[in-house]
Amino acid sequence: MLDLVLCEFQKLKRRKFITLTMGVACLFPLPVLFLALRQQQAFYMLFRMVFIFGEMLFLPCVLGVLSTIIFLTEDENDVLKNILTVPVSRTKIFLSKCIMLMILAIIYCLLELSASILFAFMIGNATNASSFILFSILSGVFIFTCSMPVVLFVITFGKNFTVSNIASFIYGVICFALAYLCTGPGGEVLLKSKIGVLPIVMVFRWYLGYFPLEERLEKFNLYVVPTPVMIGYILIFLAITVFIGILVYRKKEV
Amino acid sequence: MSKYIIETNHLTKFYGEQKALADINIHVRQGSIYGLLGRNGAGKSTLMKILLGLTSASEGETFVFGMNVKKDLHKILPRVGNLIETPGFYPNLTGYENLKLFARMRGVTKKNAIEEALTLVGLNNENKKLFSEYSLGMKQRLAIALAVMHDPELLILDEPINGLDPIGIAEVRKLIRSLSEERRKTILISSHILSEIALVADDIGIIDHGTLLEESSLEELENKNKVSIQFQLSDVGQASIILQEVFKTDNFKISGKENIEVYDTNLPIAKMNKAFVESGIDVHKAYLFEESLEDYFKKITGGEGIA
Repeated sequence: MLDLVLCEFQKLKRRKFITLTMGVACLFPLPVLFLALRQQQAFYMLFRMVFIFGEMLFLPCVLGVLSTIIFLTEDENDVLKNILTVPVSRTKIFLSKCIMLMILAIIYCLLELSASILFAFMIGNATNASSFILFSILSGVFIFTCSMPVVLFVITFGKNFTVSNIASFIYGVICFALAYLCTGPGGEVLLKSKIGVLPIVMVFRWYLGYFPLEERLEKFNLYVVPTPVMIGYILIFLAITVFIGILVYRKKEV
Repeated sequence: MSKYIIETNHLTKFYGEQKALADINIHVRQGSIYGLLGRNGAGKSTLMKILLGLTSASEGETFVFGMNVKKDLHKILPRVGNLIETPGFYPNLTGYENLKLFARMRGVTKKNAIEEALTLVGLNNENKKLFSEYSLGMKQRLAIALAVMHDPELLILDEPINGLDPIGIAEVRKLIRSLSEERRKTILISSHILSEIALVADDIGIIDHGTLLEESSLEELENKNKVSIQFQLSDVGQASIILQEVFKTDNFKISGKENIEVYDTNLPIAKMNKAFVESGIDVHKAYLFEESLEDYFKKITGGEGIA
């Protein structure tokens, strides 16, 4: 399995999108820094904004495009038949791609954290950010899991790059909008409804517990999801989506 | 254990309502080159895909190395190299990188296996070129390199000369023959080009509209080619009496109003011609006719023939 995951990374060689994405992850905190400077606890504000915009909004779109690249490239170039006759089972192929996406999501989150620490240090607001390493790793895993429906869309309906990429962006924006609406005026109603247990909203609720909240958001303390509960929830959601993904992928015609 | 490396029993495949293969029984001997000949869409690729487990048969059984493809595919595939339809590789990687990727997946441990495979197909100097920059011929060669890289016992090659120039075709033909003769590989090769199959194959299977019309050795097929003396003359009735009474033969056939085919080729054409003319028959043509493999295939495929 490790070999297959390593092969998945090899397949991304010369893919400019990966370099571009990781570059964005590194530079994204820079413009946000200017907004955070005006606030107290600049590092916390910086990293919160980086998480909201860089991870909750941008990362699902990135993962959607990546899944389009890794799955459709094999379809378009007729490579799958060569892998299947190695032989490698479809389940292993699907799992190795998912693991690779998850690792990239974690790397992306850690890069954003590193850049945030660096920029915060540059403005003299150094902080002990080591506690956020675990947060970044978990948020990478959680956001990847939230993006699994896009992966399922790509392997089920994805016939061309454009349609799959548009679907990824729409999904990313909807997820972000849902999380954003939860902090708005009618947010509590949304959190009490079924929307409150949607993966991206659950990630948002988990995130609320990680940072000191300002007064206007304190009412949301009621809806905070503790990390162990969140891990359990994510594991169940991941197991269901991976299982569906394997079923779909196994029926794929070569 | 079966003496055949590949054996199918009443293999049938449906795509929806459409029958792609009907009751196919093929037998590939160890160490032989088996040429599967048929037009585009005849069912060659479908048959090969079933052998490799890429699609399943609707009915019938498939055995490779004596093992059932449905049950023991994971034991069969590491011993098989294949090229099915178009060469499939990652466009953003070089040929070498593509092979390296598959070598890792296959667990190829032999040192220089990639270099040897590339040298074998004449791509050793194209290490830095991306697959997307390859010509169709180079892509085809890389696919053959992938098929042989792990030194398999059986090669399943679907139209391996597609897209190759005449020199490339000759090289691949030579490579296939050397793999069979020097390395004792069993090879199943498909093509829609009769002349190519006739040049490399030991055994031939002719497939048309999903049905295996004939399976025999090339030698047997060549022996089936009929040789006859053909006459075009004015009175076939009178000519047939002369053949029976003067030349004591019934081994002929009247075809049409003016043609007679005499199958006993030992009879002297000149003497027969003289006898016809002396009996007042006008002889328009007299010649020795040899039916080619092409003619034979045309006949068994219903007149459409194979390119």
